[in-house]
Amino acid sequence: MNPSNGNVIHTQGLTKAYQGAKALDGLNLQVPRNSIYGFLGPNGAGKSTTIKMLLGLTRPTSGKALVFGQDIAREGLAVRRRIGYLAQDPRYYEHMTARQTLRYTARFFYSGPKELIEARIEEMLDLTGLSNKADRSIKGFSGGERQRLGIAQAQINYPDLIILDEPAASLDPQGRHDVLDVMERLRKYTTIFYSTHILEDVQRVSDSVAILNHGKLVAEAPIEELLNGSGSAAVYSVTLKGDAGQAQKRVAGQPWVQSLSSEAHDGLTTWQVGVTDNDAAEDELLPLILEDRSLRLKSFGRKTHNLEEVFLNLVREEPSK
Amino acid sequence: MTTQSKTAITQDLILAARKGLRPVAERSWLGGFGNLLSKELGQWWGTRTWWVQAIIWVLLLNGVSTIVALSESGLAIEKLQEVVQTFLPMLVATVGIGTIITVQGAVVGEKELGTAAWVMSKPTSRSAFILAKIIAYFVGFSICAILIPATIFYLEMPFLISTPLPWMHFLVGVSVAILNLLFYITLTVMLGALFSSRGPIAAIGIAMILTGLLLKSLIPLQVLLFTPWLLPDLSGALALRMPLPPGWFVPILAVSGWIIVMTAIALWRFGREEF
Repeated sequence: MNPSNGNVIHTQGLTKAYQGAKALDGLNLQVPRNSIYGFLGPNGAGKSTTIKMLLGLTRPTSGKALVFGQDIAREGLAVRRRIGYLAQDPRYYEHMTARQTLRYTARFFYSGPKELIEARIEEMLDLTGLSNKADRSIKGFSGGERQRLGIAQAQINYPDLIILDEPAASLDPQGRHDVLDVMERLRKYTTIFYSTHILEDVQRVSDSVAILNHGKLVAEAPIEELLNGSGSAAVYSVTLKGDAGQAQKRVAGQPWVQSLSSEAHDGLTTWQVGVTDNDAAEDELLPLILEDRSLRLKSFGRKTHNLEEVFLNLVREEPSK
Repeated sequence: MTTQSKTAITQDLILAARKGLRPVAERSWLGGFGNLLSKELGQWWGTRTWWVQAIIWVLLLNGVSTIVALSESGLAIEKLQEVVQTFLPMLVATVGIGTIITVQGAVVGEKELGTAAWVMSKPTSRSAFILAKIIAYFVGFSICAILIPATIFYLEMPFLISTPLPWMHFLVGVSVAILNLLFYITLTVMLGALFSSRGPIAAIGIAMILTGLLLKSLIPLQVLLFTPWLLPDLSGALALRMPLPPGWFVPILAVSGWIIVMTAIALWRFGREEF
């Protein structure tokens, strides 16, 4: 049975050490098909190292990586036929034009017919807004233009998996917006695995997120789950009008309530109720509060976080080893 | 970037287009070789490189040999020997130096710039990368630095010296120069795979040539036979049908062996390169 179990990327204990220091430590990652998978982490967390190992550019010290169920160490060439890759700092042959670069890239995948290859090149130039610079030498390209060319060359082979290392890092806000737009449009045709430090982008387009810190995976979950609090643990926010003293005692006495903080303001009381069993909270929390007929419920809901909060909490919790 | 592309992509269109495109069919250990070689050769023949190189070598090699031919006096046969003994050894030595200077950045330059990592992220093998470099530089230098000057030399000689130069023997002498060229190309590419900066490559390569030129007389013959340092003399002697010492073919076999060994080391080392 294939251990990748339908995932496009599946890593098992993937580890990379440089002179004894672990840049990546036992990474277990599952990237589902047709997802946009954000790979987050502070600088030096091991994101680029992971990407390089997935492409066979660097060998793991231990563990293994399966892409499309194939071992990258043994079947790297076959795997790379189905991948499009954009490096963090994309480098091309400076003497070539954008069109020549795309033609050179396309010929690693296709031997003909020439008209179809040229049509595909034209399509990519159009998609990335490089049509009017197609025959200019790359030497004069700005960082943003190089990034667009990178996105074009990464898609030239209709990849089943696109790996993007910081795709929007050197783009202006409009360019960033356009890149995210392209990613969203490609979602139905391909899987996108990308690293970034722009959390706002991740929250906008990603289905799933993995957070890496000091070479270790500290979180991996669908984005909704991560923002709502992972697993069965959650925090509920309740705002009440009236004397909430009795209700607070009732709620705090429940075995599934982990914490309850109360704050009074403008005649209202707001609770933050931390729970260990989300199902119990969903079934019982509201009825417990409303047993007290004198109370008026002003708001009730599970507290959501933004990705920046989640990211910073996770990264701070994991001290450097 | 055009957010709503003029060419609206649909899955059906993509699949149709994919069906129309012929995937490259290459053996995995040579994956991408055709494309890599085509690009490398394009850098010689699709740019001004080839004619700039050809002009430099013609001016240097044919210029010196013409001056020698015009300044020599005496019997025609002696004059011919002197000119051939100047042209071919000089060809062997200077092309070796030129090769090291030109090829030193072929692998290291791409490692430094990051283009090697980009190329390796495509369905291409590391062996193909190295072999394409060796073959393209070999073809480029053979034609521009050896065959063009040698042809001009051969066609020029009847106008300067009355004694004919047998073309078959001259070709054998030129072949030795080509073998020497391949030795220095594989040496430089191997060093490029082993080192990550140009300094050691140029230093080792130039030291190798200078040792042969300046210290040859101090090295025992048993050692010299297994080096490329006898090839300059051998090329001239073969071209002029001069009597050859026993074991004259040993340097040719040894250098051929070194070429295979150095290519194997380059393939092995580049295969382990971490990008």
